[in-house]
Amino acid sequence: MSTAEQPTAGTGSGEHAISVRDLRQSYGDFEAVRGISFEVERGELFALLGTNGAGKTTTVETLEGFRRPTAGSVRVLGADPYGQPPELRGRVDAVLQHSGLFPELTTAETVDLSRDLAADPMDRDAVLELTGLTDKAGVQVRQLSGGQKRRLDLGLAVLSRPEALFLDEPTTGMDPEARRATWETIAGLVREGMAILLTTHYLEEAERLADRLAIMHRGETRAEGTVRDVVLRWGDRIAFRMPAGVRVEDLPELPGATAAAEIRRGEAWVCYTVRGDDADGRAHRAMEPLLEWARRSGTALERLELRSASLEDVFLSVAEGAAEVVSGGQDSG
Amino acid sequence: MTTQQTATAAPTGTAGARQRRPVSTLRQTLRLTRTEFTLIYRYRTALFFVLFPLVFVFLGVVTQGESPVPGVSNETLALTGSPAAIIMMIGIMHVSNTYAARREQLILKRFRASGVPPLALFGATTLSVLAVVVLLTAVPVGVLIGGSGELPADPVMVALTVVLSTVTMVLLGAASTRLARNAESAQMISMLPFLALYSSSGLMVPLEMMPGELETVCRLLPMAPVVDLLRGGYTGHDVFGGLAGASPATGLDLWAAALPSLAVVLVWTALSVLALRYFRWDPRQPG
Ligand SMILES: Nc1ncnc2c1ncn2[C@@H]1O[C@H](COP(=O)(O)OP(=O)(O)OP(=O)(O)O)[C@@H](O)[C@H]1O
Ligand SMILES: [Mg+2]
Repeated sequence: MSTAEQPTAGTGSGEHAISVRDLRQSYGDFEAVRGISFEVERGELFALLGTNGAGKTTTVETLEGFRRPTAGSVRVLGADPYGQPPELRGRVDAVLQHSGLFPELTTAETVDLSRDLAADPMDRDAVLELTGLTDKAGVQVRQLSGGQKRRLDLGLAVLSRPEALFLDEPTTGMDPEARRATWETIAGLVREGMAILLTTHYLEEAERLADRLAIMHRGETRAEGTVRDVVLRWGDRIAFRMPAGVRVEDLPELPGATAAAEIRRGEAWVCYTVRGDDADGRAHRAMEPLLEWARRSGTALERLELRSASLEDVFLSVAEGAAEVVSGGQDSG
Repeated sequence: MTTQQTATAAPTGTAGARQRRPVSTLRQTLRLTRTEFTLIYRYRTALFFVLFPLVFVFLGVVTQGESPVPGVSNETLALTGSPAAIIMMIGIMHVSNTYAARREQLILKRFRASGVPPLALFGATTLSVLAVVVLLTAVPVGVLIGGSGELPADPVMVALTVVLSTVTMVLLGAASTRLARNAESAQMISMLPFLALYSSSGLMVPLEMMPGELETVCRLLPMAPVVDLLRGGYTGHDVFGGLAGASPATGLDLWAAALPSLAVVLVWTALSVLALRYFRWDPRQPG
């Protein structure tokens, strides 16, 4: 079972809005990105998750045209983005990981400048409304709060109404309400046909917005697919306290499941990881023979639990350094 | 509240279906130039740098002693050469400082990420600096006209020199940020070329008082020919072979005599454009 494989979502038309193929990116001796591949279609949002230093920003900056790939290739709207070629101007925009605003200009002046540099931009009032900064229009950018600046960044990136948009942690520093409003803005842009590549550390953000996502760690993709796929591939977990007098070898084989012993708060536990294509029925199919075994052997399954994964489970096991998310369950308690 | 707006006010339509004429680079340049003026007006340090060169003009007025050029006073020589100092000061020191700061603040990177071409960014800075240079140059010219009624003998030569050398100094100032980690170090680093250019310009020490090889080197550096062209163009004297005993010249004779200096200036302008190939937009970029 391969993690990076994703059940043919590609339309086969050949032209993806954004495509990354076997991308490698090195800083001197250090290889920050080690052969990652993904595509983003129009009207789709792809989220790049990953640990700090995983190589997300490096990947995004390559797509923005700031770096030439060390190996592999990237394409944006059918063009090589390196050096921001004329054919991509006005069709691509970005929120960088850190704001880049003139501190001496007011909010309104900042919006006006970006509007005047773009073809057929949104109205100034619409941008201010969208960023929730209408009442800060006359305030110098240096006086804005961190979250307000972040909202302005997003406003500037979308006012040009690009076809492809890169968002590098766009909601960092926003309060929950602003974040929610931003999510709705972003979802609206995707519905209108924009291709969006988003990086975020907020798993809920990815769950809400991402059509597909990849989780990166140390320059590699460790899990990829729809949120559902990624979570399902991680498997369901059946766990119970190790019954007294039972050895690991005595435990039954369950269909589609692998057993592992683990220690939780000083107690021995058994944890089955259930994987298989029949995501809807697999937990039941594994549970049945387990209960049957317990009944026949007269064993009580204490604290028996069954749970399916959350994105957080997958992320944490990636962060712990699982080489492949599908290989083996948690090895610590 | 905020989200409804996106859907109604910002219909992107099906991506790719829109017909949009991109804003021309010229328009972007002029728009950014306007912002540069706003920033110069608001940013105190910048203002200080912009006004500081006027000191050189006043230094020129108090110059004493015997003039080497018959019929042209020392004051006139100092004043006609002073635009060179203004250009160096603003071009190299101010531009390198602001560009390093803007790179550090990721302002340049954001413009690039949203598709603003480098030509528009450098062009706007050049135009705004040129406007300030012209404004400041009006001061020595005003003193010359007001003081002794001396009008420029060849205004085209003077204007062309001001434009070319401003472009060169602005672009070299921007390119020099390649070597600087931040705005502070950019300012320190830019002191070196500034001092080198100033002392090789002939404004501080007349070039013919230098040993032969040094004089040749100075004449090949960007500033000495600029000073000669400004003085020659304004006073209508062939100062290109040295100030001592320079004789009056006009029209084609003057331009013919100026040709070598003009060539050096043009080469430096071309080099400054080439130097931008190595410009760094991103503070994280290695190097
Ligand atoms: N110019 C550089 N020189 C050397 N190493 C660099 C450079 N830029 C980035 N790196 C390294 O490359 C790795 C990937 O960095 P990158 O910014 O892409 O990570 P990231 O996934 O965006 O992390 P975060 O979630 O913290 O933003 C990091 O280890 C970083 O230290
Ligand atoms: Mg990052």
